[in-house]
Amino acid sequence: MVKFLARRLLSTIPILLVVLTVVFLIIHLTPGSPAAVILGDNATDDQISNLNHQLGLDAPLYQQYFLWIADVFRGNLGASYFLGQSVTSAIISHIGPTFAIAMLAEIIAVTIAIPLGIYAASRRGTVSDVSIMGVSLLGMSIPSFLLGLFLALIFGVNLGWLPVAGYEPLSSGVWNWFQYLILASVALGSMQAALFVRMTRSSMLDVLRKDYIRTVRAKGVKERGVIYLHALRNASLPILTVVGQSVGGLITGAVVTETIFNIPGLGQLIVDSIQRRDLPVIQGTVLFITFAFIFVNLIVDVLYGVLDPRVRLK
Amino acid sequence: MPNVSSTKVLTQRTLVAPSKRSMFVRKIMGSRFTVFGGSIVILLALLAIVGPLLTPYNPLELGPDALAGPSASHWMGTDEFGRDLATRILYGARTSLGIGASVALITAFFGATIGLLASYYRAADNILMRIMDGLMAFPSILLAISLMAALGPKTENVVLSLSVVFTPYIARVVRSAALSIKDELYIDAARVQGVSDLRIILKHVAPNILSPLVVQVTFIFADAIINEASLSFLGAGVPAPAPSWGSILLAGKSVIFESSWMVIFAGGIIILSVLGLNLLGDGLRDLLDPHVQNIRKKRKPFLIFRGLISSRRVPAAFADVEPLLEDQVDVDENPK
Repeated sequence: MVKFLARRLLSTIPILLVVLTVVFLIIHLTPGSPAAVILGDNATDDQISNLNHQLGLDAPLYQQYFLWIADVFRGNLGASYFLGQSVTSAIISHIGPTFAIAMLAEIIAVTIAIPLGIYAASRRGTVSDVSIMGVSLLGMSIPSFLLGLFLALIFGVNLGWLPVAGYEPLSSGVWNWFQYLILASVALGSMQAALFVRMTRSSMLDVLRKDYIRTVRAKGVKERGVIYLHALRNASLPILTVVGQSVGGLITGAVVTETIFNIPGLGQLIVDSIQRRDLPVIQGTVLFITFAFIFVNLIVDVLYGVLDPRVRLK
Repeated sequence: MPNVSSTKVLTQRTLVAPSKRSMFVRKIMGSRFTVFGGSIVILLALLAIVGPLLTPYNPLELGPDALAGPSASHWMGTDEFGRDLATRILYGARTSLGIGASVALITAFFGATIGLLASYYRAADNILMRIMDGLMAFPSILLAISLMAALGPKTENVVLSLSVVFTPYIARVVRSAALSIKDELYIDAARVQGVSDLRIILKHVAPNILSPLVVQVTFIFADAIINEASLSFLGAGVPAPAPSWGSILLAGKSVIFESSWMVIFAGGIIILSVLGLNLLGDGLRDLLDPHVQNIRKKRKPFLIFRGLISSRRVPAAFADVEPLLEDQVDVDENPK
């Protein structure tokens, strides 16, 4: 177990290094010096080189690289050119809505998809099985930002049931908060739901073929008991893994989906920063989300190894 | 004696073995989904090439009536500047499909090169594949966004960014395909005969990785279209006023109350092209992968769904878990 854990942790290090290096290079190979971006078009060469010196950008590249990595591990992602605050505090002030959308999407996906997957597996080959699989195919073919636009069109514009865009914090009431997030969460959750349905179905089918299920049936246990008491427990491990692994993807997905609905999360922060060419914010946010993505997957992976000894031995 | 002659014709037909190529064409034609997906792709490509010649409008020329609904003169209505939407979607097809195709070709070339080198030289494997792993650890759209933010919004930069994002996916597929044949006896035989490394890679290894490469490239094509649309939609892709499907969506979003046509038509054509490419990719995978072919004979109904859970759709930060997941996904296709 210790060996497995050590191997997993060690294999993450080169990945983190590559990620750090790529993000660093993206900042520093950008055409035009940051000082010129901050000072605008009217700055003189002297002003630019002064600011470059203040920002430490005239030091050799390798020095900047190591200083920057040390900063990153201390949680210092630099300062925004335009917001007048550090990148870390900008991220913290925008993370709430993004996290909320990702979690709501996860809840929606799990509550819809797993029962449907179990149902489809228990009626394999019937019309309902084929239709559930067909809908899940459609769900996987529509990118979530497009689905979000279509949902906004139907429920916001045509039916007028929900606001098309905007956000209100949780402190203004749960329903107020919820109605701004629900369309984004459904849009984001449906692609995951489609994946979960398929995972649940095939995992259940796999277990239902096992000998012990035949024994349970032969004992005279009712079909419902076979499925929920005996099959589901053993089928749940791969389902849990896919659900766990989806967390990272959902946070990334939320970044794109929330911009459709003008929800002020990390995505909005990135989009606004692109328009302002506020590179530290873009790089810091991308780095933060990528690290979150890597660590969530690492945790899921380790948990999977704890739960299933076969993974450890591989 | 008509019977005799027809027997003769029949015998001749059965005796002459069909060429490998015509067998393949026949196989493709026998797979409905491949034909369907392929037809969508060909139709869209034709529209992109020929379409702009057919329309009387200029995609950049402003018109008098903005946000008009579909009519006889404007089949899909007009956009917020009175430009003909159908014309912009046709020209947008050039941009969006052009970006998709360029990304597919560039990633195929670099991905195959990196994958082949990594499979053959251990040192290259350690360095190149670690870099590829690191690039794949980025959520793809985020890496594309930060590259675009650094490079600036330009169509060429979209191609460049998406190529950087997707090359690792090709490299990984090519590497594992190449590794599986590298230890075959005939490769050893070639080496013992003194054939150079380059020649072994190009003549003996490369032809064997073509099938997985083609399949993966088809999926990358679809992913590139989605990502181009997302980038342009976020304002980090093809700059205005050039028409691309993503930038039409972005414009459509801001006028969604006044005119929903822009979002519906641009979104519809993106879904159609992605669906077409995914079906084509699935179909090709079924035709080219002998393992899948055996399964295919046993069970048909859910064939269409399989390809949609390819390895790239499972979060891919940890490659080791993936084969296990794939097995599980395929379990119901392969009854014991």
